Amino acid sequence: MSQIYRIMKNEQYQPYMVERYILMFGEEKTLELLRSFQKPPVPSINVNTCNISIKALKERLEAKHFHLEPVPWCSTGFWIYDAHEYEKKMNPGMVSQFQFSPGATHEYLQGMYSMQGASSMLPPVLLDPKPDDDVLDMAAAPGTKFVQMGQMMKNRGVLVGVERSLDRVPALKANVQRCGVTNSILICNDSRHIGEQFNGFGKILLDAPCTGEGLIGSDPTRKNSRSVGDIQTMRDIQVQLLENAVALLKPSGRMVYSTCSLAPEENEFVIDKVIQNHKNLAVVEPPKEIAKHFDQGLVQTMGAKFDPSLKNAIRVYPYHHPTRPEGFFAAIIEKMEKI
Amino acid sequence: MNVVSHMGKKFVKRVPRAVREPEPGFDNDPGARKQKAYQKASRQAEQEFDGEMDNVDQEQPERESHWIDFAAKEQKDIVHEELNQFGNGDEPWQVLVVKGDNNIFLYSKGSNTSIYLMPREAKDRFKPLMGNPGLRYFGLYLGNFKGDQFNLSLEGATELAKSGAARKNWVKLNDEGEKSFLYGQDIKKADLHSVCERGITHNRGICLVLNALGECIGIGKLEARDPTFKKVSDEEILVKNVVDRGVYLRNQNRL
Repeated sequence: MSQIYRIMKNEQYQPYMVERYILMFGEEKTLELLRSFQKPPVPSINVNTCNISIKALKERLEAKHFHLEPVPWCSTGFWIYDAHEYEKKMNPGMVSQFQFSPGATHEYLQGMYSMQGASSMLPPVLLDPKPDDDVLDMAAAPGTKFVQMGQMMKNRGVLVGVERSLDRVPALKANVQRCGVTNSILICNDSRHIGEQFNGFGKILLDAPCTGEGLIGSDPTRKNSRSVGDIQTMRDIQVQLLENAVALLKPSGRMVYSTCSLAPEENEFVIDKVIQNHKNLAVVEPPKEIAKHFDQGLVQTMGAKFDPSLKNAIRVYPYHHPTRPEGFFAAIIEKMEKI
Repeated sequence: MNVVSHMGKKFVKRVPRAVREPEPGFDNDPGARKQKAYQKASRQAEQEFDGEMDNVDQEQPERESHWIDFAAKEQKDIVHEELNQFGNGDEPWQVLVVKGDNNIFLYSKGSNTSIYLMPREAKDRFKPLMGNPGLRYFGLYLGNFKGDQFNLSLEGATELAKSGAARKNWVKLNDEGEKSFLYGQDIKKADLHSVCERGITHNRGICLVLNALGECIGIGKLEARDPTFKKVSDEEILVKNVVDRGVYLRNQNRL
């Protein structure tokens, strides 16, 4: 316990955060979590297989002294290192000092890959959009998951991206243009209220806006920039978004709800509340080869009990992998045709 | 109605007189005027998807300002002609539009009129969204009109090069030239790897700028007096940088 409080004090965590971690995860895991937040995640890329094959991109990046290691839960995902440093240390947890940024190579500019957190590759993988699917992304900016889905769909079918913030649309548009996602439609609107013009979708990604507690490793300001009040505010918005996602999802459709928050209020609570309102919804099991890397969703915590199907959700903690992927939550929700 | 002449013909440029871009909607309850415009646009979109656009020569009724439409035949002809300047015969048009089974849309935003390609298979989804005031981007941005002149976009040029149909009006840069061009620089003799067989013959001197691997990294405009670059000096600017893929980093917030 003394170690936890030492880190809390040195790293200037708000006490409520650490207290909640202890209540949710116990002392041992809290210590692991705080330690893993002390270093940033290893940067990773997602290969845009519509523009280049994995083999060809690997060769081109290796020629520029980058080293790629595969992300086990995403076939197009790779952690990226400086090849010389990696050769010396052989440590997957190391964060390289790059000679030049992987986010500014000619290959990047040509849309052959995107810089994308390894955890954030999960929601599209779980949603598994196919060519000819009809897919909605309800919070599309800055567009890395959107582009990943376009690539999985091989630019076929229809991919609609909705983003509420006008300020975030240019980045989204730039990513879509750079990567050549030609089956896309981008709308600036509030996904809580879209409806009549949208009809139903067979697949929906709701990567909901959140307090971003899982990003502390890459953005330490998150330790102090959010409060308990923010969690509650975000939870209300998330419930509204998920309710509308349910309305927009076709029967037998599949959606993925995800956040980069570790707070159960923004994750299990939101899904539990919406499931209670809709008896035809269930959180379904993710593929075993993906789930094995992570923890299950919580079915009870801090005195609250949730729908038992929430154990099928996925919780990513940075200590799950030496590369310290960002904290993340994702759940596959299916809408049954009839109860 | 805005009448534009092209190649001796006159056609009605189907851009509304007072084109405006509605503010992005953050609510689902727009004012009555906006709602009326939206309903009218949706009705028109529906009619057009049902095949009424085949008869493009008919006089179109005056409409309330709106910012998305099907391209008229004359506009398609201009696009067609421009695309074909980069390939053999009709190949670029066939590859990008016909084989891609795309609808060609006109998108008006402020004083800009752009052309977008959207797969026909997306029509059921796209139809009700055509009138959505929040619509920001769709399909492939092929280029824009300035008067009756069509300018190919970076995305359009990239698709053209990717399709293998770009056989004319290109310059290929060496590695150093590629780096320099992606920083927004113009092209000089030392940057050059090769140029297409007959040099730059485009009627406005436009050319695709490719890297040594044949990937499109931008668009340029001929500056040199000799379009084959055989008689040029080391210091002379041969091709001016119109746009390059470095723009995705440099101007991300302005795109």
